[in-house]
Amino acid sequence: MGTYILRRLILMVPTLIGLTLMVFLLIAMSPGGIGAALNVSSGGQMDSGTSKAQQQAYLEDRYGLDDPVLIQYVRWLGRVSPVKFGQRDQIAPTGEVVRAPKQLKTPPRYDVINDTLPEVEAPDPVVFDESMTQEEQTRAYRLASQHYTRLRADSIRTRTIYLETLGRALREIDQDKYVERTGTMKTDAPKRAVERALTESGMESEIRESLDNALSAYASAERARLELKAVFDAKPFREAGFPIIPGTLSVAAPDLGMSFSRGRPVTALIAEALPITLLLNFIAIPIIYIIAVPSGMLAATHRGSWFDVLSGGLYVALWSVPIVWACVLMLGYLANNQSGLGAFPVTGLHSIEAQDMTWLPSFNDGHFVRGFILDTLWHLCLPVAALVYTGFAVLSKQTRAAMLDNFNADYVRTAKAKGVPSRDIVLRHVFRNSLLPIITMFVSIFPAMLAGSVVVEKVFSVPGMGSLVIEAIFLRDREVLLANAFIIGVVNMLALLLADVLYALADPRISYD
Amino acid sequence: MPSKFGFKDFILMVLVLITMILVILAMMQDDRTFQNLKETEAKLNDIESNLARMQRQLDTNDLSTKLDEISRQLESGVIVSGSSSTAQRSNLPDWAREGVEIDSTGPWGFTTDPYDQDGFSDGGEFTEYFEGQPPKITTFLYADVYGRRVNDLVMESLGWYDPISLKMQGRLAESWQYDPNGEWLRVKIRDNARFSDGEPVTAEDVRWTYEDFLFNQEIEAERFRSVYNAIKSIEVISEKVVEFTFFEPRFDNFDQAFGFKIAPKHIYQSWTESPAAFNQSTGLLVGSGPYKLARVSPDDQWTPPSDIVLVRNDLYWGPRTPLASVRIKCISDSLARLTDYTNGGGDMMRPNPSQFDEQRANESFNEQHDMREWYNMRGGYSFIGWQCGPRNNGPLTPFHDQRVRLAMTHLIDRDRIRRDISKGLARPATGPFLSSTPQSNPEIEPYPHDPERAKELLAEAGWIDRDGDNVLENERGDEFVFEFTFGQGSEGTLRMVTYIKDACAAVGIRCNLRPIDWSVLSDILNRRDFDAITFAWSASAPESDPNQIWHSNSIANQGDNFIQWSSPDADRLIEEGRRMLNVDERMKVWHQLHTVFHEEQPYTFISESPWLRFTTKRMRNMQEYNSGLEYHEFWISRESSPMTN
Repeated sequence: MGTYILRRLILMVPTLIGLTLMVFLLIAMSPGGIGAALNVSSGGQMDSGTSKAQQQAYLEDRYGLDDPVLIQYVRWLGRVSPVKFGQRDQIAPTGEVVRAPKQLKTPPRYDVINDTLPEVEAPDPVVFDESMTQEEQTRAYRLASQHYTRLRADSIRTRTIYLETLGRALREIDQDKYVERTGTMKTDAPKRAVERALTESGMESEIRESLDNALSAYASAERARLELKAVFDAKPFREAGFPIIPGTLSVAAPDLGMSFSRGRPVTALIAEALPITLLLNFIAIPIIYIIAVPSGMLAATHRGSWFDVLSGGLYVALWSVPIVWACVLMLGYLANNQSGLGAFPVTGLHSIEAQDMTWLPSFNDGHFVRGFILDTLWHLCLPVAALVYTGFAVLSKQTRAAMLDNFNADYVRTAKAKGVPSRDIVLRHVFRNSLLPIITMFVSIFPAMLAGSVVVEKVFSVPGMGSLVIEAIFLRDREVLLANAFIIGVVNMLALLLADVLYALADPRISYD
Repeated sequence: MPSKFGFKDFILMVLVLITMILVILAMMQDDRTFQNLKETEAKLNDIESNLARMQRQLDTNDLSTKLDEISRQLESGVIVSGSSSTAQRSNLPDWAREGVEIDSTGPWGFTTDPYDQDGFSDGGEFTEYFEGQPPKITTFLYADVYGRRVNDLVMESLGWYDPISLKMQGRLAESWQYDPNGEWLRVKIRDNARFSDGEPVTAEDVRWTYEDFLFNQEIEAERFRSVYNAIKSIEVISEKVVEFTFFEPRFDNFDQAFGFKIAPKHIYQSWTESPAAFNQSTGLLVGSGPYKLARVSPDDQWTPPSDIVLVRNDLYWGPRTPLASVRIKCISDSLARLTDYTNGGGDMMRPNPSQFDEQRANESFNEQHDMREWYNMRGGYSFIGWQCGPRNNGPLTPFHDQRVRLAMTHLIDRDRIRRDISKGLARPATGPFLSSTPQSNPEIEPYPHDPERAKELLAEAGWIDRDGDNVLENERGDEFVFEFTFGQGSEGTLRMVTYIKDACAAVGIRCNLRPIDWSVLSDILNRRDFDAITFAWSASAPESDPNQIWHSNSIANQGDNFIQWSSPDADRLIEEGRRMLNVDERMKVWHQLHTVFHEEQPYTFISESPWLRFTTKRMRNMQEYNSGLEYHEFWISRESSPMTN
């Protein structure tokens, strides 16, 4: 059994890589591509601004969108993987992960125009004095980091101007195919094209000037980078994780990254949304079970009776009501106090007054105050109802079918022949034997719970996982979507593994060895 | 084997029971401390507001002594105050530069004073709805219109647009000198201006906010950095005097210097020292405005999705605002929002045009609510943009010909679109400048709906039905076919494009509809990959810079001139206008530019859309200004029944 579980666990790694790669490619290939959100906010406003290419270069650099898609994916894998290669990250006292400074890009095709890169002298290694406090070390790192950030932005800006100048020159000589939509030259344009742009466009001095600017900005940024690297190497902060082979291999907690549509860590977003979705489902699923299982049993014992027919018909009818429509009806008839009852709140999880409420209900000057717990339950009524009503059909039919299977089994006939009371046969023998599929069904429901219910959460303004994911899809938020696919993938596979193990435990005939 | 209730079960039951009782007891204990805490908090609030009142009294005493001083000065012959007053060279205040006029706009106060009104009452909470959830409201990090609206209430800039005249007026700025050559601007900040913690607003705050906060590359404020591109440097002259230096004389220098929000250095400096943590913050917002957030600290800040609650800034340096607090609920589903509003959950919501239209005839709704509809500078206009250049580096579209564009405008019955599709909640647009702003040329009349004239124009341009198949062809025999791109999801837009398709078919033009997802819009615009496209622009200031959308420079490099329209006349006028510092002269140039747009029809301008608001009857003094709404003037009447049901 142990080796079986281990094998399954190891198999999870390629499955997860395949899964996230699929999601990653889907986002990358969808219209708008990764980070469509970055451009959305600037549309529709009559605001003027600096060159779009420069703004975009800044954002792409910030989120690493200027690299090929596969490299972006590998980088993401590296961050998520608990096994890390190379230099270890460090963790600042604020809890933020500090990484070695990113490499800087040279201006593309500089070699055609200028033979050499300007020399950048490596700074001396930094060693922190024993007497330096953590605060002083942090300060030293911050200063170096600020300096580098400023120069890096400058380098990216001048590099973009250089590419724009080349782009203009290429258009001048009708070589539009080497020009990006943003008006910059494509970074993989062949040397020949650059040579022609230089000699034929009549913009030679302009191109040279922009390259000189770009190169000198590059040189100072590179110098600042090396300085920052030196400070980083001196380890101003505690290192993350545990070393396995010092300097090359270590183990650290996975980092799910930052959402670029919301500018916050994905873990924080999920930590906010997940409990809400779980709360909804932990109320909804027991309700489904409590109603569906007994009525399935009753339907099985009284097969063909009016109860069997009615409950079956009713559940299937409920199952076929579209959730959107049901939600709208509930809002209109149960929540609206003009056209309906107004008995339930319309949106959210708490009333405005809930912040000032105590946990428990109380009487205040003769007024009944709901208290926080009751208030939350009251707000959950409609969303939970919307989640529950479609669930009866499948589960009660499943129970009914499993029970009927067992009723026809030999042991039931034997029990009957022995004179066991029929109540005992149903509850003690048949029901217990029919439980297996019901339990494994729960295992498959659980991952679906994590994903959240998009429609219900949207209509009732419940800020759960469904809302988070649907928004991330619209904005092509790479980080949120991948983290979500990753977590759901892991939970799903663990649940399936658990189901298989449970099978073996529940049924001695099954063995994986 | 019948199950027995054994000893083990009993122990288990007892344990479960004890745990439950303990949990309930813990809750009760927690409730008691909670009640105590609430009482202490209430007392603290009392003390705080008393302190604030005392501070205000001190201020007014201070002010009266100053007034005395001014009147004495007036008697002795120094001219101060009043708009655009000229100070004599010999009597310039000590902060000013020699030889340049001093401007000022007098004290900052209410445009419509709520305190004089019948039945005025102070306090109460005003609740409004946002249609989306802003992910963050931190200064300079927010990315949407909702974040901006919250920031507008909490933070202030040196100037603001007068709600009626839409002229830039001093807010934190008391008086200023603007170089006639447009190279520098020296501003004196009001002596009594202070942040919500009582600290004064100083020149150093202005400098720091711009140079070390907004332009700190480690702060993710690129959106703002790209907008504020006119100011070269800011110099602190003295504690209350600051001088801006501009890159070049440009028309929007003054508005940019007066427009960015001033943040308190003594608070933000420590926050921005760890930029990564600051970049992740959601609700770090402190300013000098009439409202403030009750809790602002990196450890205890507003996070979505809770309501945004702004409370009155009792230490506000300007006139005291009547509302005790403003609550903002974010509900993205439009039906849920309307239901919550009609259930009495809020005081103001923004309906969509069809919701507004449905309620117009609803008497009981009208008894309880005000339906507001007005045009202001923050409105927008919808249009059809015609591809005037090669589509996606391919062939030219028929619309490169001005006569064809003019024909399309004549062909489309814009009155009917406004009447039947926008339900009358729109008015004609003739150009990109909203008619409520001074930039718009009032003499321009919209073109009439005239299909005959459209046919003539098309024939002039060479589009005639040459082979009798009821489709127009040009000389080369190409049929007039174009693709009409529009954003999915709006029923109104769908009806409009369908109508236009029919109108085109009637004169022999084939129009293929191409619905797109909004997230690919910018991609399509950047590639110039459309024949005709419809959407809307919105504005946030009374004067917009036409350069970005209309100058031929903006065709290359993904500028917003995505229709690739190039007109030497327009280019000349845009350049001329941008250099012109005198407002009245500049408006004349913009009016000429408006005429060029009208003649050239690079867009067919369909309509301007009004602001639509439902508000409860208890809300008072909600003036429908040219600048939008001014929250600091609202008050809540106690006469009408409270909104709870």
